[in-house]
Amino acid sequence: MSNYIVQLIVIALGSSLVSNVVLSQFLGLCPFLGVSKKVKTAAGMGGAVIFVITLASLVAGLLYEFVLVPLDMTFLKTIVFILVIAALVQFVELFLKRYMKTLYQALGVFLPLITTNCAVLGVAITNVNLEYDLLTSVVNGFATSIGFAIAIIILAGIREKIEFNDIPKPFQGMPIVLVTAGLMAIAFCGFAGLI
Amino acid sequence: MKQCTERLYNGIIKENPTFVLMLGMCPTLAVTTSAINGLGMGLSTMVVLALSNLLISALRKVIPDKVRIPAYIVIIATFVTLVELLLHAYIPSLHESLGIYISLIVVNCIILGRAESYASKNKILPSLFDGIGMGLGFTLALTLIGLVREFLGAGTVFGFSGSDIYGTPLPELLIGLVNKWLNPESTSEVVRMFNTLLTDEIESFGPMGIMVLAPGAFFILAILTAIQNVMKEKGKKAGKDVSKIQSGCSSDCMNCTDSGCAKRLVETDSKEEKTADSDIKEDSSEENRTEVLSETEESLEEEKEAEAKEKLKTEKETDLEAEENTSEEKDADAKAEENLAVEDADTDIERSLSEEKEPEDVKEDNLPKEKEKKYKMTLLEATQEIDIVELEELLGEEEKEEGKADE
Repeated sequence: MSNYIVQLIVIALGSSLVSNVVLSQFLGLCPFLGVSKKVKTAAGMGGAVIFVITLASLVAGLLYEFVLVPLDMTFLKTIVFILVIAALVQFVELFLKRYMKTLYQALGVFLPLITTNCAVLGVAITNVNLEYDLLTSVVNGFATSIGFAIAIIILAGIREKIEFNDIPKPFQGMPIVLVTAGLMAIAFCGFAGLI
Repeated sequence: MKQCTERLYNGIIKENPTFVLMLGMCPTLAVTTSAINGLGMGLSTMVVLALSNLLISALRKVIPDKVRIPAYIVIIATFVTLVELLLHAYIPSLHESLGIYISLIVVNCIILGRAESYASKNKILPSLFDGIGMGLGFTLALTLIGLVREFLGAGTVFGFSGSDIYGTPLPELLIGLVNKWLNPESTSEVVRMFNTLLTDEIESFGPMGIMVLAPGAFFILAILTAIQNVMKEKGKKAGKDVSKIQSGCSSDCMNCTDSGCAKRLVETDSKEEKTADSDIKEDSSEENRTEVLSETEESLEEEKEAEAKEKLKTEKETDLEAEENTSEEKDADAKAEENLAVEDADTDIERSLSEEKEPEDVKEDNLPKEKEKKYKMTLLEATQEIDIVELEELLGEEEKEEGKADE
């Protein structure tokens, strides 16, 4: 049992920091670059991603274990996952709108933006490829999305600062953000010594 | 037939998905650690793109408009699964090195973007060639990026290191060739300097390992976008249509068509602007100032808010296309920043004025109240004047900017 917990912690550390979903796997790059102009927005996006990825990895794990494997249709995983995730996010949006107003106000605008973000599908497929069980899948999904939130909030903080810097003209806008992301990726390489 | 070749040219050069449109950046960065990987990924994407374009175009009259996106996704996912299984069976090494990115072709925005914007409106053959052209453009871009990264990061080209056959790594060979070409006997000072530089380089040669790691991908993309910026600027000066460059949506791979996220993003941004304004208001009312001053400030801010709303209105009116959306978004951001900057400046001026005022207040304590009132009025007028001047400047700048954008 304790072995299992240690394994969970190692997986969580690995997927949130060492192989960070954006900075080393390049998944979810679009919202990472697009919605990181302000820390407030970035935090909202991070929250929405945490919510969606955790939920999606739970649902995808359940489906895989109790539907696809018994029916011997695991080759359909890509199709099933993407449709289920898209439907799930729409459903969650409606549910939050109806029953949990405050949470909807915080995350609502970001939910449609990540309906079928590649990070969401990527985590679901990674979980299946690495043959994680249900709990491990959820922990892995949660940790991955935490990694995303960390990365996007740090980037937004830096971007708020570099708005006022004197940047060479060709590098204004997206290029300097990419350079920043590259430097962040170097920093995150340092976490490789953790495990 | 003419249309088909035009489609190929369009996909490879004119609207190259990577170099011009900047679409599908996730796989571009992730798999280009070597030229072979880039080529494999590009070809897999091309197969999926061409086949899904073909099928979607064939079914364009069958698929109901309301459920077209899920239908497209199912078609695309089917072909992705096919390609993945084929790769797994026949090229297991490539399947292993590409990993989950093969499955993630499903969410590559190039594919859904082409389905939505071309295949769903055109006949079968042009759609097929559109898919092939776009796919070739993508393949070309991925292979080139992979080539550069592999050469810089590992010193090899397509896995060929050169040391097996020639005994020297490829970069050294290349430097040697350049050396020979430059003619070492040349008397030119520049050539000799370059030669010594190169021979020094040979002795200390080592591949830049970072280029094949994750940070290298970001740096390569940064350089690419910087080059794009320069090209865009040049194109603008030459009067060419550069609206296509970098028009890829920067938020969600699946919603990059015109009705997608671009609109939503503008809306969220405007909401934020308003909240930011109210935050500033609260801050200013919290600070210790005379009531009169804060009142005028608030009225001024209301003016500004009204202006901002007007701007937003004009923006919403011009919201017709996604491309315009993105540019407007940038404009809106720039404006918001300017507003903020001006407001900062205002508060600074007011602070300095109130600081000036404090010592004088002590002197004026003895004076009758009427004089104090007059003093306050003059102060007010002064601040208002400054504000108005600055506002005018701000408006002028914005008009200029809008003029540029219109151009």
